[in-house]
Amino acid sequence: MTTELPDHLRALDAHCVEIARELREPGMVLDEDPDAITRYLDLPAVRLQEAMLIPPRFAGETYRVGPHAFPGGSCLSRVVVMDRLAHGDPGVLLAAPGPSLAGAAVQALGSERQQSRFFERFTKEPTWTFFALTEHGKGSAAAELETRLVPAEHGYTLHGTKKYIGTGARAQTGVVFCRRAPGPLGIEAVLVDTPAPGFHGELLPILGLRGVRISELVFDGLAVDPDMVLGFDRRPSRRGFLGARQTLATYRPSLAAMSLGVADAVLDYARAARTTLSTVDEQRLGDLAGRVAVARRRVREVAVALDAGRPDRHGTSAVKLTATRLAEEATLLAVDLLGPTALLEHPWLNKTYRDVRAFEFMEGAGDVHRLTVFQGGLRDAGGGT
Amino acid sequence: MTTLEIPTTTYAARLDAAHDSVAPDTPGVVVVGPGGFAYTTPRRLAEGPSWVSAATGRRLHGGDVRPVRNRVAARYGVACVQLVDPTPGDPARARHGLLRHHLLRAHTKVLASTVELAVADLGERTSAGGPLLGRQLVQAGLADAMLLVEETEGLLDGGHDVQPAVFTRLVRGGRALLRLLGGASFLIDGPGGAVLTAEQVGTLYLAAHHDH
Ligand SMILES: Cc1cc2nc3c(=O)[nH]c(=O)nc-3n(C[C@H](O)[C@H](O)[C@H](O)COP(=O)(O)OP(=O)(O)OC[C@H]3O[C@@H](n4cnc5c(N)ncnc54)[C@H](O)[C@@H]3O)c2cc1C
Repeated sequence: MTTELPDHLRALDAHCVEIARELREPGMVLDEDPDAITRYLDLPAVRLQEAMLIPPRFAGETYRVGPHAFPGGSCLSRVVVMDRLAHGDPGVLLAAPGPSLAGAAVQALGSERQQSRFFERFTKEPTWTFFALTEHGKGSAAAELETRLVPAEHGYTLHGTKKYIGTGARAQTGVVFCRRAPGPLGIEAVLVDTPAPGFHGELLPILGLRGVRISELVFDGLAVDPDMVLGFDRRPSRRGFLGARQTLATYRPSLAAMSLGVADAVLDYARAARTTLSTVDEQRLGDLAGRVAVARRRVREVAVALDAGRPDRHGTSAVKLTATRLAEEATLLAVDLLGPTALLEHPWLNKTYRDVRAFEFMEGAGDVHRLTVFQGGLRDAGGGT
Repeated sequence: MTTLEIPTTTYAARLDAAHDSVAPDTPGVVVVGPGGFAYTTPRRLAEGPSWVSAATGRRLHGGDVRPVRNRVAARYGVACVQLVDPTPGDPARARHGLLRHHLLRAHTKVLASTVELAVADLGERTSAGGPLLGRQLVQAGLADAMLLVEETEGLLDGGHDVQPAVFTRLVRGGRALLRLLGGASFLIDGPGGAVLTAEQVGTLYLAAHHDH
């Protein structure tokens, strides 16, 4: 249904292909020093990815490509952008300032005041944010999280440790999921500003995708104002964990799109570096490129469904899983084609070979998506709920 | 919670033992792979290694030793260098098949240790009131890794000719195993770092050559 993009998105697509080229070099720099992102804040790609995540009513100026304006909020536009820009470098996009997943949580749950407080910052200064859900051993089982929100004299205090949180140690603000009472309905999402007393964040040393700057965050009595509890005026079933679910559902297509952009980049790289290919190797590349194209069509379909208010949970899991595995397959194939020195003579490939493995865990572990795919298949076959 | 760390020096020691196996009479051997690249320990580099070419079996002298930065391998006590413009010397009577054999053994041991860690860690991670280790999907994943370790050890113990396909299986099987550890497997300090080090070393010395 969405194989053919409408004209304005075709213009956006072509524009992103252009500006993605500028991301290669910064990507290599960030692999050495992820904090060097501050040098690249004026890149159009950095501004565009941020613009895609800011609701139109809070945006300073709308990103334009020729006659077309691209206000934030559309999942399909975001998917087009993240796919093509990731062809340049995914780490730069993840290191860049912007609302990130935290913005989606604030949008899903926050009152108008909370939303303006959060989103208005982006028009004033570069602002980094985090979305803190995972705790060690409580990633897939996030509904069982243990970080506590404890009543205090003037509101609450936060206690616990979050792990693997993108940009956590470098952000100015973020959303923390925490427990006010037992059970899934006892989970709250609170907006916090950092650094602050009772907050400590440390970068974790990781294998690749260093721009994501995953961190361990320790909350040791961080004060939380009652009006920083997102959606505090809603029923417990309409806030807290629901926001985590909705946020991840909104973002998975973008992550899938990024994986596909990287997969394409790797296949292009391998073709350029291996000018002569045997028929069999040509077929291996062709097969993978075909699978990437099919997955791209599916990503766009789930994005259209999401924009239409009909999120396809099983389809999204399927495409997230497929896309992340394709990116990994592409790097394995490229290394195989380029031979024993592939990781030594091709620094970009070495970086990408490490980077793509992060996608497996971001926004839900692959195996958990496999189980969701099965549930969807069972439902379609009339055998499940 | 289990500390998801693999001893950082074990793989490096096995790597140097693999180099030694190639020419036991020569102290401090380092086999130089394609492109003049080699992985060894910083200690061996400091002691002044005896370079032996994997391609020709000859000793290599002189040449410029250029360090190749590798943060992950360095964490596991492994250094990478490129030997540029060495002078070929006499044949070293090297037995290169043994290098392959020892490196595959070292890689398999990393996976075996990761299986042990995974069993301990997933036994402690809980979901819906039970350990993740109780999930059949997790059990099946661990069983696959156990079978891979067992089969590869069987090939190595049995003196079979070990093909590049063995390395490919270790790479793919290692990645599937790491997925069971979730985000923790993406940390340099965890088993993910050790497995990636073995993958990188293996890519140089064990991967298949394609006819370009
Ligand atoms: C680069 C990177 C960036 C990240 N960014 C963020 C972030 O910004 N914010 C955030 O909150 N988190 C973030 N994460 C964390 C990520 O969301 C978690 O790692 C992921 O959800 C998996 O959780 P876990 O690591 O606790 O693994 P676990 O949930 O413990 O899962 C480990 C393995 O157990 C198995 N398993 C788990 N549950 C089941 C089940 N029910 N049935 C069968 N098998 C099961 C699967 O094989 C799974 O792979 C990030 C992680 C990475 C690597």
